[in-house]
Amino acid sequence: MECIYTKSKALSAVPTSFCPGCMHGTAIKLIAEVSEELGIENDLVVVAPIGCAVFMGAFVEFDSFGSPHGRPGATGTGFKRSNPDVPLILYQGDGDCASIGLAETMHAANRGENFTVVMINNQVYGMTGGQAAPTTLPGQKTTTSPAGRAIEGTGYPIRLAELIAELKAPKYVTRQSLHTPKNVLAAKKAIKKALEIQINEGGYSFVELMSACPTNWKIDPKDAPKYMEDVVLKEFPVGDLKG
Amino acid sequence: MSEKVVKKGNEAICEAAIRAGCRFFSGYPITPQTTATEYLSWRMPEAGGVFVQAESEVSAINMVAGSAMAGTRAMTATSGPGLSLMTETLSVMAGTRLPAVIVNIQRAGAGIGAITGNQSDFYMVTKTLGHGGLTGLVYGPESIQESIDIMYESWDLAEKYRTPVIIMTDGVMGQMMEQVEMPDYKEAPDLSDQPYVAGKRKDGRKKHLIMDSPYFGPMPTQNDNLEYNYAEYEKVYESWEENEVRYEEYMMEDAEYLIVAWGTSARVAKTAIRHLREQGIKVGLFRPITLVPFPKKQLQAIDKNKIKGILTVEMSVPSQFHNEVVHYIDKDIKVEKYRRGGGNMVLDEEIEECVKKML
Repeated sequence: MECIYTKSKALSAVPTSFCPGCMHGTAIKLIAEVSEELGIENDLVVVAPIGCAVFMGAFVEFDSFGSPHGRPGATGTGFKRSNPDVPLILYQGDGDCASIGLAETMHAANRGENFTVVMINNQVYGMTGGQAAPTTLPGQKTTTSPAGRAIEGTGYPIRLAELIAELKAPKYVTRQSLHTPKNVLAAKKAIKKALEIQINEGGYSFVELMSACPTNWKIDPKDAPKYMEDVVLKEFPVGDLKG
Repeated sequence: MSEKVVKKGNEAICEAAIRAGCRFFSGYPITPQTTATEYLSWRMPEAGGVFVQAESEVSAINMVAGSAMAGTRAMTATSGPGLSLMTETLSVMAGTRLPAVIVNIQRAGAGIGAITGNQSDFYMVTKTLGHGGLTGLVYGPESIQESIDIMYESWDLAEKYRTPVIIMTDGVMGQMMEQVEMPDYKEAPDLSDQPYVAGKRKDGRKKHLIMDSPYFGPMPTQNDNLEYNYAEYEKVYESWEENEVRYEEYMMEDAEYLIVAWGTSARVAKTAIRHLREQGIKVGLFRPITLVPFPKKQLQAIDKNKIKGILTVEMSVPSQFHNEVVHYIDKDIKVEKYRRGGGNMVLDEEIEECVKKML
């Protein structure tokens, strides 16, 4: 019988430990599949820093290393500059990438480092139990904004992809979503394009992936995609911003 | 071939790093370190390595960690405030057991303090690297030549023990010029199979999952493995006490009085000792070269029947090194201290006065 779909060789035998409705598993699967399609499944290295992103290392067959919270932009720079031929993905959450690591993220982008950032944006700090993030929506209730995120005093959600797209050096900046099969396919294409740029011509690429955290949103996992479509994507529109 | 050159301390220690096979430097300008970063901005690319001026010391040390995980001999240089910013990643590097070299060109005091030389980061680097109680090898050279020699060896030691190595110079040593002998170029080893190195996978090699906390091991739970593995780390630290302690005994053979000092303070003390000897006063110097491991046994062995008094000399107020030394000295030996702080130098004539008061 012809095999038309199977689990990527780049995924390990360990079942993922993510919560129901979480889209980290989807993002990791896409990275694994793209690595195989590009023939780099034995070469790709991923940085899995603090946050739920840290679990990635256990679920893939790639070499991976951790990073202090927010610092992948720097650890990735040191690694890639010393290993320019090794394809590299920085797999970061929105708290890691857009809050504690904003300086490292922006400066790595501004230098045009030759790696790909995949940022999972689920609008909360997932691992610590759903605190407000820089990406939390106005009015969104979290454990540190129990009355809902107030614009006065906490500001507006940071649209990191738009900020990075303003810089001259980055080659490809996009925001995609993981809430429908159609969006998942588009996200996969974006990851592939980013890695192709990194491998073939060299340059910085940033792929923001909108994701759900039903556990901390206090939403039924089956309702999360509709909430994302109706509410989240209004604040974070999908599409290519550069390149 | 080694060569004789006249070089500024900061430039000399960086040149020694290049010759030791270092091919990655990241740093952020801070007085009195800046001449090191300036030197490597052109010298490192010339030697075929990578120089990155980081956006902060936080980034600089993380770039070094990233480069070390690529199997490269990597380093940074900084001074007190920058070292404070680096401490989280120093803790991570000690946890990952990542070899790399950090030069701390000490300035004075807490906070901004003063930009002149001092020895006030002693506790900060010798007690623990950041949070968690882990440590690394720490050296306190007294001269530009000694800092070159230690730097030249530092990655060999860092890789042997899988540890960060910290070299503690200061603003005085960094800025002054001396004639020195620069060693020959050395080839860095291929580290690509090391468990802390990612990428460049040879066929069939299993993945490297590099984490700063050793969760895996023979024990049933993560906590138990952390405890077990940290106990293994401790055995490495204990082996340093046996095998890596370095010190100098200067004019100690017939000494009735001893000065105990490290780094620049020890060098000034040697001048004082020569003057005192000319006056017939039998005084010598015990100088720790490794600050971690600290020469505890050697200090404990100082004989109360031979030594009538000890003077510690350091450039730090409040005292730090003094308190550490006193801890190991026989309680029957009187230990006095002479120290200058705030970025002031210790002076040989003041050391002489202090020794004479003890007679």
